[in-house]
Amino acid sequence: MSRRVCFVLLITLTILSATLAGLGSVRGVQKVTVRLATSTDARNLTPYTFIFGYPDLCLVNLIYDALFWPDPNNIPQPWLVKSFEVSPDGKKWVLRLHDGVKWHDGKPLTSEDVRFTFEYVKKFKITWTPQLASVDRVVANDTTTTTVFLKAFSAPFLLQPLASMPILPRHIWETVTDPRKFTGLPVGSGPYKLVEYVPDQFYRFQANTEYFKGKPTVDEIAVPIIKEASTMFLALKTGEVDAVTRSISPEVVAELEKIPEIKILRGPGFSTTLLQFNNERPPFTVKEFRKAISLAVDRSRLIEILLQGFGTQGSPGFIHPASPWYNPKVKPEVSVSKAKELMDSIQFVDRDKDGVRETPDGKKLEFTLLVYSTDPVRIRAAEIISLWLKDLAIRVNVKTLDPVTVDSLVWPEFDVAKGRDFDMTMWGWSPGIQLDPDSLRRLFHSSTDAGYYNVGAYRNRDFDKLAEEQVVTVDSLKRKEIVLRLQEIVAEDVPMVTCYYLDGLYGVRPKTYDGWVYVKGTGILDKLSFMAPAPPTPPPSAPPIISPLIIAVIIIAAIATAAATIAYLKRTRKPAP
Amino acid sequence: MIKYLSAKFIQYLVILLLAISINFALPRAMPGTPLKYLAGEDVALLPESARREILQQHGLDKPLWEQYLIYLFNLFQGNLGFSYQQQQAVTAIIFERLPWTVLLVGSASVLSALIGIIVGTIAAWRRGKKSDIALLASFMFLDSMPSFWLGMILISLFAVQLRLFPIFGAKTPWEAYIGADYVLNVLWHLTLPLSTLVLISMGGMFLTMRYSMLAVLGEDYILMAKAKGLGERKVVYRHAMRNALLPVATVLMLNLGAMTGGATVVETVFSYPGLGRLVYEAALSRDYPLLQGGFLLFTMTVILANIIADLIYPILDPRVRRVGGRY
Repeated sequence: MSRRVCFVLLITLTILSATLAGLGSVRGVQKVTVRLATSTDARNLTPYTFIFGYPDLCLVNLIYDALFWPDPNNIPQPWLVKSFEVSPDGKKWVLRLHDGVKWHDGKPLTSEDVRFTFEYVKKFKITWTPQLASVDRVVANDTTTTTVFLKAFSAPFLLQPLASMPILPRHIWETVTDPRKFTGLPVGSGPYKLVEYVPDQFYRFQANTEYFKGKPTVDEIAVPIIKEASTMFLALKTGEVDAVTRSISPEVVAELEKIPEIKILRGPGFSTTLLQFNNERPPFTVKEFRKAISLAVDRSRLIEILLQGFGTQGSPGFIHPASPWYNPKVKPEVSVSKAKELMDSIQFVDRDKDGVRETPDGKKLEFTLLVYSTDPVRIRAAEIISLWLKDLAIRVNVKTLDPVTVDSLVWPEFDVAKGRDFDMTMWGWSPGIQLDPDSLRRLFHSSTDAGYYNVGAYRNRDFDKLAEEQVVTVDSLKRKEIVLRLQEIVAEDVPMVTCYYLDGLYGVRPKTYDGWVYVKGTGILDKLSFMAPAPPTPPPSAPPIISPLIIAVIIIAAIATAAATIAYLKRTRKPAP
Repeated sequence: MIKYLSAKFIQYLVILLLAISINFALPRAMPGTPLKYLAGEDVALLPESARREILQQHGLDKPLWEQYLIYLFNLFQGNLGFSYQQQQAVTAIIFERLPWTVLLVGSASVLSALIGIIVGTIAAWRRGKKSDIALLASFMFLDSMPSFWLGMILISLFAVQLRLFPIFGAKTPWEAYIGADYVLNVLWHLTLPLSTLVLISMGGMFLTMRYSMLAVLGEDYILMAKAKGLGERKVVYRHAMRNALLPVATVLMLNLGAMTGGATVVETVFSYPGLGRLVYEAALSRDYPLLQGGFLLFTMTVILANIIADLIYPILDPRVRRVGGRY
């Protein structure tokens, strides 16, 4: 009997203490801290020192503000700017800033800073410099009004640079003559201040409580740098972090989805995976040959096998279906028989019967396919594609090399004017490139100046002309027409095969914070995630009213359990004597 | 004696100079450029002139021989340069990582050596018995295990399932612990990576010790000791083990030399801020100064370990003293 009593007491005590401990921790939460794991060391997060467009630049944008900012559908909305006017010819932009915007150090943000930023970025070249090519001059009219005069209308101007270029504080940067070596912590005007950075280990952000759009929803963001993908996902799984900047690998999604505390936010991802041809190296110069290869690449199978369905089929026109500029008329096509016919029609046949076709002048169709050794998904994609091409009697040797070596072959010194030395490569572009359709010009224009991303050396006069026209077309409907046509030309010429776009899959723990906003194509790492009127998570100041009730319920439950246990034990004992 | 020492000194100096030159040449022999890390991913957007300017700032536009001379000149002033990847002096980066590597790899070497020596002795003494065979099999099994895999297993078991240990890092990044709390936090983070390293490296120590012990146990003086009627413990620990330790000391020295090289794989699995991962990442990003600095440190420790071994061997083993007595 005494043992039974002890047992019951123990149960009751355990339950009680657990409840009390739980309540204590709920009461303790007053400050919301989100632990957000990132995958790269982005240095000290200034616009001049970050390395990668994603996720580095996204962290930079928590600290800095641009004049406009893209909404979740990537449509630019006024941000630092309160109101603006554009002249009918699109050459004069009058921008009025919000009143009372302050830098993190308390100094006011004025039109002088805006003017300074335009000039500084023009002088010290960085990501946004080419976007300023159309700017003639910038005038600071009064403390909040700035006027930008353009040499010629530029269609992408609102999105890039206005909705992407961070405004720099003049009082900090005007004395900086070598911005790439700037080492201090950044001073911005954005919703978060970077308060601590330990290289290769972590960042710590604190909310800018004086933010002109109101206090951000999360008080502190702790950002550990976890480079190993599997480690990052495990940390999310165990609750060591609350969110991750890296899109979850498809093979672990199912495992994470099983955990009730984890929510996976899914949306279109704008990063591309391409089978890129070297269009100036025979026989890739032959359009029918490229087309035949593209007919053999079964995009939906790739998505099924590699991505477990978490992807979108690549459009032959490159632009993602979720983009407002997408041309739905260009559809991927798969047909091995058609591909074979096409090869036969251009006399690419296997004359010596060794299982590999030859070109009419007797060269074997044997190629090297370069892949980054750091990207297991792309390596598998390359292997599968090489099998499919074997069916067409094309021999493909997959070669995995470290990324810098692949880059040095495909894109020597990141300058398309320096030529290239490859047959095919599994290539890809970061999400940002999908945001503005002007990227088509950069990707496929034959001049090395305009087409600075044209790693495949694609050339088409008609395309060049239309691409140039699109930039200066003021009428946005007309511009869209041209952009749709550009995609048709690319789809027809097949300078590369757009295999798929990997969906964005971001794992978060909603219990800590659930105000995430998914920005199409780029994900949840955006200042918009911390701006929205936050859903109250966890319920603030509610516990005092509820807690006695919970305790009462639990005590009753415990007593009931105890009584039931005693009754049960008694009954099992009875038959014994 | 002085002649011997100066000969040795010159020998090591030549090796060091050679190593320094190789350190310079190797990173530059890799294809590709460090531009992406110097200028950021958007380097393609920069005009030719801007790129040249960036290379100029880092002296990369100069002919190789000139870069080499500058490198040597700076090196003799103790200046290892500025990392491309992290905006810090190479010396600062290395000295931040060095303690973690010494903590992880150093304690792993010592622990695995201790375990290997003790268990190896026991196994050798019980040669052929069931316990010996069981030990031999299990240590060989551990020895052949890939560290990456073992690390993942330990993580999924102790960190994910049981939630006993953390998954990444050397300490909780955003908490400013002090005193005993700090030590405990560091030890807590150290447990899993250390266990992984100890588990995979103690096999080698065990095998060396067991083999050497077996050789010693066959010696006449052991028979003599037994014949004198000495107890088992005395024979094993005083007569056999001491002599059997010599080869183990050599292996340990080699290990210590290679120690600063870190344990790249284990450091990667546990996101531990050690030197191995640092240098690996420097290689991927073509961070020449950081690579040179890292390699320099590795060569220096190997050479240093060799010097120490050279110096203490005569103390450990009187036979070496006699052979080299003609200095």
